[in-house]
Amino acid sequence: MTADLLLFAAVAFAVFGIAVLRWAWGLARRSHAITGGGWLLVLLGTILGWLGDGAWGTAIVALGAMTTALALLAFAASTSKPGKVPASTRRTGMLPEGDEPKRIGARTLTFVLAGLVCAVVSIGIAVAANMLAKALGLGAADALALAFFAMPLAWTVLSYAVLMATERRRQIRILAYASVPSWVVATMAVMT
Amino acid sequence: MTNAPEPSTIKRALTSHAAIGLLVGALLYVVCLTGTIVVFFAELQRFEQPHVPEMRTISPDAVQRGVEAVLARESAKPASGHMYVHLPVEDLPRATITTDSGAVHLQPDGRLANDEQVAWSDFLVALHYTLNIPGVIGITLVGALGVMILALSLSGVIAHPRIFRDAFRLRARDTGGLALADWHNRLSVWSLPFSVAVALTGAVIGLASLTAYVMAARDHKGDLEAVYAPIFGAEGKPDKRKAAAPNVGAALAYMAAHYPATTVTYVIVHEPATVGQEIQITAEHPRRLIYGENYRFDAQGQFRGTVGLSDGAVGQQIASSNYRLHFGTFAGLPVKLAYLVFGFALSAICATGTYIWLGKRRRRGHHEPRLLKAWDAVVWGAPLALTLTLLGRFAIGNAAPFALIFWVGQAVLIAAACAPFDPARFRKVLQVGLAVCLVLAVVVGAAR
Repeated sequence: MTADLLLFAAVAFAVFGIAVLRWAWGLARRSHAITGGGWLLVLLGTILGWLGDGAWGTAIVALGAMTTALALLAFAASTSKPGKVPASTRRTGMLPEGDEPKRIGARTLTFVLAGLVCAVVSIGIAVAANMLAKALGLGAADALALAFFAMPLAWTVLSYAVLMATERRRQIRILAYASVPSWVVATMAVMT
Repeated sequence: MTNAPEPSTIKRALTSHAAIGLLVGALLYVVCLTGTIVVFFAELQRFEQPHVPEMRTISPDAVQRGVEAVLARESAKPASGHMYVHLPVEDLPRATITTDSGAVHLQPDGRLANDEQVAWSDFLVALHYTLNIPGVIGITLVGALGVMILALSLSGVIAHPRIFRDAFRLRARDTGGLALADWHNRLSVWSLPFSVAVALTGAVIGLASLTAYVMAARDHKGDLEAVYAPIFGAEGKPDKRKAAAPNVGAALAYMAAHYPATTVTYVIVHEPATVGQEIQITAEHPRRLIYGENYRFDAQGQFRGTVGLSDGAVGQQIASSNYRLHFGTFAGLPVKLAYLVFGFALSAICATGTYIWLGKRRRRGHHEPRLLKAWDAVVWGAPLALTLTLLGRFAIGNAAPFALIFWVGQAVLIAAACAPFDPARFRKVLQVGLAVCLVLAVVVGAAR
């Protein structure tokens, strides 16, 4: 019963927080206090959800907040007025335009670096994280879970960093630095 | 002073956002769409095979009778490595025993009923998990798509500095591409926690084997099971000599007496009917994200202990929480419905991303009707091809070649996009075709 009440309060805080954010972002002049208050309510709901039911409670609170936001969004869509604001024509540079060279080789190399090479480097980071965690005294299960989560997260950050780099040399430098853990793992494997 | 990123950073982020989205958009869309549907895997099984004995509970003795009956039936067949007994739960109130040779439903008293015939539901899950690519390649590819969603989320937030300020601004009736961009951006913002959660858990599920292979080679002489043992527990030593049926009934009776607050979902017998056999019971804990705790018993049904997924190391609890968080099966129908809505939102984000890119190119004077039609063939064609697989299930039966129907259907539709059809008419034909097939599938399904 107490747990149910706590969860209800947690979801209510988060839902109210989203409503406050909707109000804050609809004001003619930006109010940091109201926006901050909205975020604080969402945070409070999340904390209550965690205190009451751990990860399960947090997940329920997050779904409640997101559902409220989608409902408000649906209302915004249903009440929006017809308009003719010109949409963006911003170039993303994905395909050549006009007489621009196709640069298929360079694009393929970028794909290989951001995809395959980043994946391999991320595995090295994950295995190194596992070794380091064990060396720092973490249990085998904790170190293993850390490695399983580290791999996709490292891949995400690395591929983003590689794609954000404007020069090939910088992309390779990022990957070289990131591959240091892999070399450490490989060296230790050879030595043992 | 402003916290907004530099214009060059924004431009670069937009480029990388577009690059990732365009490269993997089609596969991402198929994975998101099928993921949304398989949230209702239990309900789909009941829809696919309606005439099956259903029950709210089943007694330990009845399960024991079922296990013995299946082992007797399969005594002449090659030995099964594992036997899975699904016990009736709220969304799938059926008892089903699965071995390497097949699956059979049970009557409430434990007698064998009809064979399980849910190949279409299984196909949907396989399509989502592996894109029907066998071996470790398929699941790794889908895991990599999870990483791509994470990278798209990151680059998307960086590329749109006003993404939170405009979070409730939805000019749905604007013409000229703005409405589409607003839908894409607003849905992305408000489904961000959901997208990150399902992408990360999906990526971990899909890519864990890559890291595990390296660790197995480095630390365990290639033994993959040994890598996972600290989290999910190790299996006993196999001893293939024949033995009597395991006492599953005793193990279930122990669970009812000592863990009444849990919901037993599965009984797994490792190496059934051999000297080395072991019983493992998986039971859900209320208000937890973990898929359950594994309770281990010997062949006589004597309790040996738990693996620790519910109260062991934090790493065990986190790793075992991946699955229910990913599939939205942690709080009954309301959460499943929320996952349905957010899943469709994520699919719509994938679909609109490419439409936005094509629209920008069109406004800069690059008319690409074939590309537009090809993308329409993916967006409207994928659900159409999925519906055709369901109609194939009704017309041909459980043995219908679902993967072939889906992938050939999808390829034919994309090839048709190259023909000189009018883009608007092409899209209309796909939409009408999808609507007709859906209605047909529902009518035929309900009439069975």
